[in-house]
Amino acid sequence: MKFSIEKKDLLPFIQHLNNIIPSKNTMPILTNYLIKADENENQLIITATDLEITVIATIKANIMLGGKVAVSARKLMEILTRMPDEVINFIYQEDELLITSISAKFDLLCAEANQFPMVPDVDLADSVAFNAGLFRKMISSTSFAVSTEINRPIFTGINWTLDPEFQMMAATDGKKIAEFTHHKPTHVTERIDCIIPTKGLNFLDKVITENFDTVNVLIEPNRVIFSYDSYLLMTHVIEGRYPDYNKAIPKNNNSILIVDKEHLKQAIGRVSLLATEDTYKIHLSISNNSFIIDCVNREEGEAREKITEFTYDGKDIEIAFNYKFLLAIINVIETPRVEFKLGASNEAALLFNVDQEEDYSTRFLLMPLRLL
Amino acid sequence: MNLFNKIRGQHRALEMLHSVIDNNKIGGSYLFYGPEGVGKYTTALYFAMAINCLEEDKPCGTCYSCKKFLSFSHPDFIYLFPTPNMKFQLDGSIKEEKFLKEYESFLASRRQTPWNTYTFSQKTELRVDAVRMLIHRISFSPNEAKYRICLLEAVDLMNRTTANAFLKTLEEPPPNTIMLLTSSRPDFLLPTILSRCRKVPFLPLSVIDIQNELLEEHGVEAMQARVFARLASGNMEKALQLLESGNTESRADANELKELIVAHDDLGFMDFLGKLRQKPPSWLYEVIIHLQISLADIAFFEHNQEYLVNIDRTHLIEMMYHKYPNIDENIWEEIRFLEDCQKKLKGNVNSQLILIEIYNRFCELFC
Repeated sequence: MKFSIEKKDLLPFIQHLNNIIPSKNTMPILTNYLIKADENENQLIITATDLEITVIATIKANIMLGGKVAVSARKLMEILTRMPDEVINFIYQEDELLITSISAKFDLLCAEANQFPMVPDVDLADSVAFNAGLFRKMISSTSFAVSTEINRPIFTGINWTLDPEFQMMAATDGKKIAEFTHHKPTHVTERIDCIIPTKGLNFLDKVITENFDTVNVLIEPNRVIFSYDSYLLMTHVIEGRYPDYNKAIPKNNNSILIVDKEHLKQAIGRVSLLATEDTYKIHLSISNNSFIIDCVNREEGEAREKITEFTYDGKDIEIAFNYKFLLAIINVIETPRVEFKLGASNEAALLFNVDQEEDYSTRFLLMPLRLL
Repeated sequence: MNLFNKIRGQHRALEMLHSVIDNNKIGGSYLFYGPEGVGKYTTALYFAMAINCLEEDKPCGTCYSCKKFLSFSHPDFIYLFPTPNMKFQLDGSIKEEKFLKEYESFLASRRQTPWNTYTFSQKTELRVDAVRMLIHRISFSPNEAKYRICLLEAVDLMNRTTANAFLKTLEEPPPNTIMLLTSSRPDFLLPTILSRCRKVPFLPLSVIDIQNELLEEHGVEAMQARVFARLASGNMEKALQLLESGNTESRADANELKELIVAHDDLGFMDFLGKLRQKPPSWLYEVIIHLQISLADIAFFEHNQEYLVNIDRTHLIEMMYHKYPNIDENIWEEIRFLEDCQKKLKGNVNSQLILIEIYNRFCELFC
């Protein structure tokens, strides 16, 4: 195998793919990239996998001789990062990958390429196209709400519903819910539900840019394949039925609070300095003419901030939240103001964008903490 | 070459596995049970390879699928074994450097010298986080294999909670997933585990099987092979361990003790006693085992020479036999005496006293 490529053409791909490579894994071959040089197409095909997600990047390069090699991902990235900005030559012979620029030269010992997990063939003919920007927005608006608890795998993914009339992504961990609905018809012919692990989606979130605006998606019985620009991402889906979280969404939250997003964010940021680290609890007291955020920490003291610009219509209420969760939701609110729909102190709060005129809508739910 | 041919003495187990493969009726879970060191793990590994082998003569050991199995790098091969608490992550990673190293050196030892007992730095058992990792990994569809294989070694070293966590998966593995369990103590398994597996029985190996294996695969000299095969008492691992450590230390010491007894060399025995201090506690225990074997040798000497174990030491056996020709009448008493000594040793009786007792008693017999 022999090829040459400019550093700037290769490095971004390697850096992105590095997110997939598992560290300290018990299967050492997974810490490698599989690099395949295709002589006929004049392209490099680089594969990274952790067995749950497989990402393949296809890059144009000057291929002199085809072949394949499995090479340590970490070492390759470190070498490339430190190489001068020029054309880099790769030659693979006798179990060694020779990496040379004009001045520097590396000999990397390589694993046997055949030991690398097989990458199944993919036929994207039946795939469905989606707008990449929107897709990315859907991911970033929901992925913060997934659970990191391993015991309930179903909550570690985002539930993606595709309907001929609309599409929706939702995530929850039992304490908060994030839901993003796009109200435009899609190209699918029948309703599909699948739960996709966040690792794969977060990868897409990172690589999607404005330069290329279509994601092609192929949904198979137990995996989903995304193709975007030079990347092909295969992810397994999480088996099972996503729980019906609509039951948890309160219907009678009639007290409506509208407040400036930035203002609120800064106030929470200040008050939360004294929040305890076991609950992250802050306390909101809201009535028609006053809105106070405070927090009491028996060991350290109290913090209190009065918010002056807000509108509130409803009963007086005292309610407590985990400020980290609250900020995570406020961070994905897009409009300058944020709307709370509140019920009682022990009932979930709903959060919305205010006066947003888009073809999509979002809603968020946050469970309150006990007041005492 | 078909790798199954390498397995000796387990005709019943192999017959069963062959019929499974030939008829392509592959069940969900199998339990390979039988004494230590008779090839349960190796057979299970070969069975896993055979199911997925790409060649006609399964398992070939040379196709890329077999090679991946042999190097433990097959993505659809999940191998669990008793470990210290390594805090396995769900994706199969081990965060602590020290444990990852241990894990890797265990696998390396498994690849190169599977008969050696690898000693971890801490107490081992089949951990619940390893089982969780397995359950997580098999929730995805197989990567490239026809059948995904989960091999769990020494399942009896699983505590009750772990076993129960594993039970549902064992009962209904996902499609195309096969559970292979091995155990040398099936009596210690939960009945719920036992009842969910097809059982593949393994027997102790015959002396001839071990001897042939030593001769043909490990290039051992004929005489040595005969001795080790007899010393190993049906356990191939033990035979190979004996081979690795050469003529084992405890065996040489037992021979020295016998010579001292025959010569009634009290001064020499005092020196021998001094050795005791530098030895691990298990040493005397092993010496006693060798003494038992030697007693049997002496009893067999006149009429059944083909049963002799210490055939490289016939002159000593002969000498002892002539000092006590009617040993075959009282041998059980002596064997029981030695067994008693072993019990006392385990009960923490002073080992020096035990050694002196043995010496005195045997001196009376063989003087």
